Amino acid sequence: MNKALEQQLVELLGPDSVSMTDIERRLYAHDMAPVPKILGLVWKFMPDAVVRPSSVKQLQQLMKFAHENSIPVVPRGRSTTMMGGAYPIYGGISIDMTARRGIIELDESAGTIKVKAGTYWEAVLKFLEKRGLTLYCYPTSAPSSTIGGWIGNGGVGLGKGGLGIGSSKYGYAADTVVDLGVVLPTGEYLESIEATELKAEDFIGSDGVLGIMDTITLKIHKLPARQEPFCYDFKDFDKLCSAVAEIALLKPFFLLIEDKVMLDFKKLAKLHVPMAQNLLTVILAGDDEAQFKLDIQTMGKIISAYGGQELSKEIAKEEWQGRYYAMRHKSAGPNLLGGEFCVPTSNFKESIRRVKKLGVAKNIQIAIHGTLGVNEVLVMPQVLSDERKKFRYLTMMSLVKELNDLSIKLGGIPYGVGLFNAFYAKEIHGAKLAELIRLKKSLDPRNIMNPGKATHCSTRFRITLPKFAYGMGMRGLGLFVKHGG
Amino acid sequence: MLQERLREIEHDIYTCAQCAFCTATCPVAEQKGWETYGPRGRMYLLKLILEKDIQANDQIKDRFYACTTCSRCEKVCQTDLKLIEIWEDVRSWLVEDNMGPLEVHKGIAESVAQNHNTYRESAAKRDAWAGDIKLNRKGKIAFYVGCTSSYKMQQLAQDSMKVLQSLDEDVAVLGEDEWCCGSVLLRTGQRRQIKEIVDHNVQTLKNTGAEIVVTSCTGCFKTIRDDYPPIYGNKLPFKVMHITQYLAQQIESGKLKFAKSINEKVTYHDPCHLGLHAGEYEAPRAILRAIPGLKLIEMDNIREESHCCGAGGGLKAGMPDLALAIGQVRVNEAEETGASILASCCPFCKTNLSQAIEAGHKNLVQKDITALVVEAMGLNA
Repeated sequence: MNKALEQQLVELLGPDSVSMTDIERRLYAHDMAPVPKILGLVWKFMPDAVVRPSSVKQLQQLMKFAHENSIPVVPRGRSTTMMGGAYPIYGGISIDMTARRGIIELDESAGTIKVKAGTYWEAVLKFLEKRGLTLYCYPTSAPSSTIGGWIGNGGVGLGKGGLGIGSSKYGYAADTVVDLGVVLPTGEYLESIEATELKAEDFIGSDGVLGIMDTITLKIHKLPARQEPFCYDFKDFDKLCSAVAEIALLKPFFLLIEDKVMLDFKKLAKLHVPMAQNLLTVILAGDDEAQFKLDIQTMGKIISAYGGQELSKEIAKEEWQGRYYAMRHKSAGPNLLGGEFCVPTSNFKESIRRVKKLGVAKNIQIAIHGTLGVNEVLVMPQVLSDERKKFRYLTMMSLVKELNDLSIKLGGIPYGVGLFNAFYAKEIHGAKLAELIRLKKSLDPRNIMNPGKATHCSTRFRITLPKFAYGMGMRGLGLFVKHGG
Repeated sequence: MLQERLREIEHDIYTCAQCAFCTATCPVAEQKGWETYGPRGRMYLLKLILEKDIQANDQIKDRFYACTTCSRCEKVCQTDLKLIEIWEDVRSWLVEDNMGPLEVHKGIAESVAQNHNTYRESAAKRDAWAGDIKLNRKGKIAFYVGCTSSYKMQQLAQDSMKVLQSLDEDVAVLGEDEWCCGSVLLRTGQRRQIKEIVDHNVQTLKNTGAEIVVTSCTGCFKTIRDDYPPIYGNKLPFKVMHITQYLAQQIESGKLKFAKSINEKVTYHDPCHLGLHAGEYEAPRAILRAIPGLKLIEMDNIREESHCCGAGGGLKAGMPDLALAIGQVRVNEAEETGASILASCCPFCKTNLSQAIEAGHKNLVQKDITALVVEAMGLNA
């Protein structure tokens, strides 16, 4: 953006809604994952301007301005993913959506709540819980993740979106969305996407490449009559995996897996951890007391059959209360590096066997954090790392590709698309990739909406990086990851 | 140099997960919006300074002083970082580099150095609040009055003393020997005078013979109880209690009795220095529940999830408009309860919440819990 355009932008939205200071722009040039500076040669992460629109009118004005001047725009919630979906790669304008927050309408008879996109998930949950209501599913980053951020996130692909707390019982993010209000790249506002030829599913999991979600209408339901956490210790992780495959059939509300290495990482971070080898936490929820009791019985039998030992209710409650704190042990690194992939529940055990084998081959300790999805387990293998050891950190990034490839071989997919998983767009979006590309061309002819991501991985020079080049690069870096260090 | 000083907290800087749980709960971030005004943003700024990508400048100073040090960020931190220590350390390093504090904070430090109080008042008039109340220099209990109650909110000092004396205890006050506790200096990174202040106050409080030091200001309470021991270099030779803790004990033991009813609905604001910092949520509520006629109605965000009043951390003096805007959020929440009284137990909260009530034309009255106790005991006749 040149000076004249910058001036126009300030005049358009007002000085309180626009920032071009160096420090502000730097803070909108990253997400949770530290990215080696050298990658700045490939992508222009720094936005030219950051804006905080507080009304639909401002959003429309902004998009018209960007469209007329072919300026890239990147919608951003709280930027709590690690896939590079929420920051620029060509510069342009970063749109901080957190000024668009608040609850618009609760319709108990329809079983819906309409919220602004920048509202935090936890804020909506608290609002509903005060009224005896709740959401079907929400992300594990609920305290700071925005509704629009998670609904837009690639997750397991277009039309499905993210996996979160509640997904194992109620489905993907998309299954909880009724309608969207969207500002298109041209500035046109569609108050109800379902009242048009488009569908909410077209935008869910699209990484914001088609337009900006401004409002989201979510399904709600009454708080379950009963909800209870259970926690088990398994000496044998293989048997824990077998138990998970059977417990999945009970459709628990939430299921969390942490292996021994994960518990060791927590000890390294001086956290209090239960006396256990491998932990399985299950949250059952339901309204039918008889069914609830039956599920507890069935689960007890499964646990016994695979040699699990039930831990105290206090431990189970602590694990449930800590559901948002998956990185509490981060100080042991101080960085955590790893992958995030989904595998069919039936292949979960095999995926872990292969992850561990990879760890042995590379002489690195890989910890397992897993949560149950709809028909899959979302696995987050992690290694302790340190971004200050720059070359080592860079080479360790090759592990991410190996984990992603491992999941694909087992019928799974890498989780989330954004920038860094865009090489896997075909696998993640599947047959819907063609639809996403078609919609992108139709709705965003000037390619200004979060360009260069989701469907392919572009560079700052607008050259698409071929997957084989990514593979070769990562393989090359991987050659240096031997014998720990 | 700040950049070199940051090596001391380097591990914390890289441990920050950038999850933004802190920013989502920060009262300043809620008002200002921009990432640089949230705790996560500040941690990232420190990383950029440490890696020499940017240098400290006035904008960065502004961001580090735009904080009430309420500690909500610390309570929700994904990786258990001691964020308040970090904010105060960075402020002190900005001061070392002659970049901090804000101009108004410098004036406060000068006043403390010259007059031993934050308000440029005469040290000799430290007891002026007492009027006809007879004061002692020795006692089993020492009442540490604090600068605000001594000079600007004298009714609170009188109320506190009336209640304490009514309980038949020998209550000492320090008079001219009471120096500012140093809270504002510590919060704003001005540590130069602090050792002298701590040593003086601990010694003079010890000289009263008191076993318990009672404060009516939560800032003094937190500072003496938590900040003093490491600076003093030893365990304090007395116990430190906030007046609500002391009075709640007296109610529990049956020593403090109420004579009158206050037939009003009240809601309670947790001062950060008493609640989030010291973990005392129950004592003030126990008093309110014990006062005949009072009906306590809680706000949505209380105890560990309480919202800051906006006045702490030097923000009221340094950025009054921002402090007031934060106070208005809290007052709106109080109004939603339908209560007629917004009670608290900190002079800083009282000032900011009262101004927020006035600015928002709210049908609420801000009262200190001690004032309510005085009224219900019939001591204000």
